[in-house]
Amino acid sequence: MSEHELTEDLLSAYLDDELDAGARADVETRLAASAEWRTILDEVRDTRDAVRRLPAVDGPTEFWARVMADDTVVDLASERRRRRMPRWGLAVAGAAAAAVVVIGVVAVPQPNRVHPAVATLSDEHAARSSVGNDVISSLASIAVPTRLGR
Amino acid sequence: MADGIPTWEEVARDYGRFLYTVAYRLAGNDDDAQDLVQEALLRVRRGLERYEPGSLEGWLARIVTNLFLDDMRRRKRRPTSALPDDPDRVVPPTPAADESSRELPAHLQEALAALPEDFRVPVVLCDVADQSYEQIASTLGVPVGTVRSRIHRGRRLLRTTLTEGAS
Repeated sequence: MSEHELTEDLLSAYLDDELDAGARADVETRLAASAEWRTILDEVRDTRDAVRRLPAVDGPTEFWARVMADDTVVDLASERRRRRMPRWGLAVAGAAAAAVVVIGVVAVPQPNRVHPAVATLSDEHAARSSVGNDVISSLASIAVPTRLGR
Repeated sequence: MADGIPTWEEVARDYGRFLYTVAYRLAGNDDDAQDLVQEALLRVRRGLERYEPGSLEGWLARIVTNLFLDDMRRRKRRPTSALPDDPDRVVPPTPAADESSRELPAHLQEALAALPEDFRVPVVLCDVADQSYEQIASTLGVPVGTVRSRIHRGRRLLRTTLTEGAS
């Protein structure tokens, strides 16, 4: 044998016709000389044949009925993934959802949360300017204070 | 079937038994087999446009094997504690008629399921899905020599398990 080390592993490949001509000839030479190899070959053949004789398996009728229903494959696959999610996975998912809500409340600017309120600031400024001669500032009290810049 | 490309329904109808058999021999139980078949058909549905006419069984075997191996890796990373089944959605037990067909080789199926997955997968792909060593090597991303070794060792382990079980 030129390329393959002659190991017992070759016996299954020999049975399955997965060896090239050279390796096959080497295995046959060894088989002719070794009772141990012949025994192993017989055992492996019996085992292989037993597995190959295992019957085909049909899923339950109801399973296939569901699978063949419209879009059921998608729905069932999602459902099964959900059922198999570990409890801590659900907890993490819940915590993540809660974090999103908190961030939304805390970090996203809300209208009418300017301090001091623009309307109050505007009125105070107008009151101060009313005692002076600032014409422009005196107009502040009529400004529209809400949603500036938004 | 147009241009040699089957519809999703044709795949499910004509190759469903093949797909289920491979999934069942890999997973060793109906529940996991059903998960695998559903996910596989989902991928088939999404991937049919890219399917190039050839060995459809080879393509399906590759899909279901990859799903099985992905699932095994996930389970090793984080052991799951399955939530209780939703009684409205749980698939009922396999009918007795289906069970009877499995009684005879039950011990063989148990021995197969007990094989380490490194050996079980190539044995199932070879002896159940009828894939060549080259195809198995491609599916698993390992050299053909590794496939050859794992199939042989898998069969030997199977033999040992069956012999010990009988004695």
